[in-house]
Amino acid sequence: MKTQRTLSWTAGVAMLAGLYFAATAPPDVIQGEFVRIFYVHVSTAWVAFAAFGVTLVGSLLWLITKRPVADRTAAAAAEIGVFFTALAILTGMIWGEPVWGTPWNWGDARLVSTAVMFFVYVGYLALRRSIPDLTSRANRSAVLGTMAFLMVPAVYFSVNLWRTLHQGPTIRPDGVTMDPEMLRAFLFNLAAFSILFAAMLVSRVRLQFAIEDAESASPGRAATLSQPDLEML
Amino acid sequence: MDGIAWVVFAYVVTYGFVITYVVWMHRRRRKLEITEPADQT
Repeated sequence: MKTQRTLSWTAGVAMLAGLYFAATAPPDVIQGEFVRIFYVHVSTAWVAFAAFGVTLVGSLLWLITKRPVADRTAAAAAEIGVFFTALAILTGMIWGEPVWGTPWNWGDARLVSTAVMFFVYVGYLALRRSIPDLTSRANRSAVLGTMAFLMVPAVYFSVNLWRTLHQGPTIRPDGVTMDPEMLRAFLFNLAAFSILFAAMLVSRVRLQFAIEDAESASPGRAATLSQPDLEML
Repeated sequence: MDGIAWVVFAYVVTYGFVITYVVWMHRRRRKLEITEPADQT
C-alpha cells in the first residue's frame, strides 16, 4: 500500500513536470507547435509496448511456475496496454489531422499494424472474460499472451520495413537528430509515463486480485458461458 | 483550429482518459474490497 502511494505521488509530480517540459520545449521548424503532441504520443505508445512486455513475462512465468500472481499481472498489464494503445492511436489521429491532412491512412504500415495489435490484445481480454474456470483461463490466456507479443516488434519495425506515411524512429543507432531541449522534454515524458505505468500496474494487479478473489468466493458471478460453449473452446 | 488548440486537445484527451481510468480502478477495487467480506459470510 505504501509502495503504491509513493509511486502514485511520484507519477503525479512527474506527469506535471512532463507537462511543463512539453509546454516549454521549442516549437519545430517545420511542424511548429504541433510537435508538442509528439511527447505524449510516443510516451503512450512506449507504455503500451512495456505493458505488453509485462504480459509476455507474466504469461511465461505462469506457464513455468503456475503462480497466480504471474497470470494476474499479465492480465492487468494487458488491459493497461490496450488502454495506452488506444491513447496512442487517438493522439496520433489528433496529430495526423493537421499535419498529414488526415487522421487515418489505411495504406500506412505503422497505423494498420498498431490497429491489429490493439484488436489482438482486445481478443486476449475477451478470452479471459469468456472462461470462468481460473486455471483454464490462465493457461489459455498465457498461450495467447505469449504469441500476441509478436505484434510488438511487428509494429515497432513496421516503419523500417515499409516506408509509408508514418515517420521513422526518432532515436536511431546512428544518433539523435533532435534539439537538446526537445530531447530533454521527450526523455522526461518517457520517464514520467513509465512511472505512471508502474503505479497503474500495481493498482490494477491489486484490482485483479480483488476481482478473482470475489469470483472464487461466489463462482456463479463469474460464469459467463454455458457448458456446451465451454466445450467448444 | 490553430496549433496550440490541437496540442491542448491531445493533452486533455490523454490526461483526461488517464485520470478517468485511474479513478475507475480505485473505485472498483474499493467496492470489491468492501463487498467481498459480505459475500463470504
